[in-house]
Parts: sequence; structure tokens; C-alpha cells
Amino acid sequence: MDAVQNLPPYKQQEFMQHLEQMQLKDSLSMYNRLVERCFDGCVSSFRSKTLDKSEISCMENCSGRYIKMTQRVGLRFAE
Amino acid sequence: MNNFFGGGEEQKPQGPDPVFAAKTEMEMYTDLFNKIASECFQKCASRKHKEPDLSLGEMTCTDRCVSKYLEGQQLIGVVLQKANEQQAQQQAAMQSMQQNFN
Repeated sequence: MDAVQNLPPYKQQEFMQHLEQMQLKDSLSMYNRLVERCFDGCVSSFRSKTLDKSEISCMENCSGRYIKMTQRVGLRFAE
Repeated sequence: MNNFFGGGEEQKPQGPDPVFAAKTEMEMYTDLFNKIASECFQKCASRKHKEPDLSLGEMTCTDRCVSKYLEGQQLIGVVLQKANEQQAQQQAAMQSMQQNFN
């Protein structure tokens, strides 16, 4: 990451603020994508307007696994 | 306070920019809406597209689809929050361990 590491000190604070903003945007967008993906995989019937138990457990598993996967990817990516 | 010491330029407030936060929130809701529309169309609207209007069944399906989607979104929000808290706890624990070693 040459451009990041070669930033002059007076530009670093500006960059840090941008970084925070990027991270916020990225987490919200990740959240939306996750909900979409898990909903698509877990919910296929609409006899009721609330989620039933199997759908709830599927959504919880789906999001939990996705988070763990992201963490693992993060570890490998940093290597 | 600035005037006391001879004045100075107005400083930009430090900390997160509220306009950016508002923009981001708006983008998130727009994105959410588009995703719900796309998902519910895919799941509820028949592919045959024989008629120009939605049938009663399709409309009911859509209502339920939106309701389920938003419920699912809340659910996953809770899961994410718990995961973040857990990660924060782990980081705090590691930091205090490092301090004990020093």
C-alpha cells in the first residue's frame, strides 16, 4: 500500500477521516447485502407475514457464518 | 473563547461530519428499498407476466415479503451487534493482557 504509507504527515489526519467514512459506508453496505443474501436463501414461502422458527434459525446461522467467514478472509488477506 | 485571546478563524468542528452521516443513512435506505423491491418481485411475481396488474395473491405476497424482510433485517442487526460487542471485548482483553506483560 504505497500511496497510503507515503502520505505526508499533514495529510494523514485528512486520510484518517476519509478512512473512517469509508469504513462506515462499507459496514452499512455489507449489512444490506448480508440481509439480502440471507433472505434470498432462507425465505421462500409467504403464507404468513412473520418469519417462522426455521427461517429465523436459518437467518441467524447465515449471518453468523458470514461474519465468521469475513473474519477468516480478513486473516488470510492480511497474510 | 476565541475572542478572548484575540480572535481567530472559525474552526471546523472536529469529529464526524453530520452531512456525511445523513447522506450515508439516506443511501443505505435507498439501497434497502431497492433490494426489498427486487427480492419481493423475484419471489412473488409470477414469471409469466400475463397481465399488466398484480393479482391479489401477488399483492398479499408482497405485503408479507416486505414484512418478513424487515423482520429479518432487525434480526441480523442484532446478530451483527453481538458479534461487534464480542470482538470489542476480545480486543480489550488482548490490550489489557499486553499491558500486563509490559
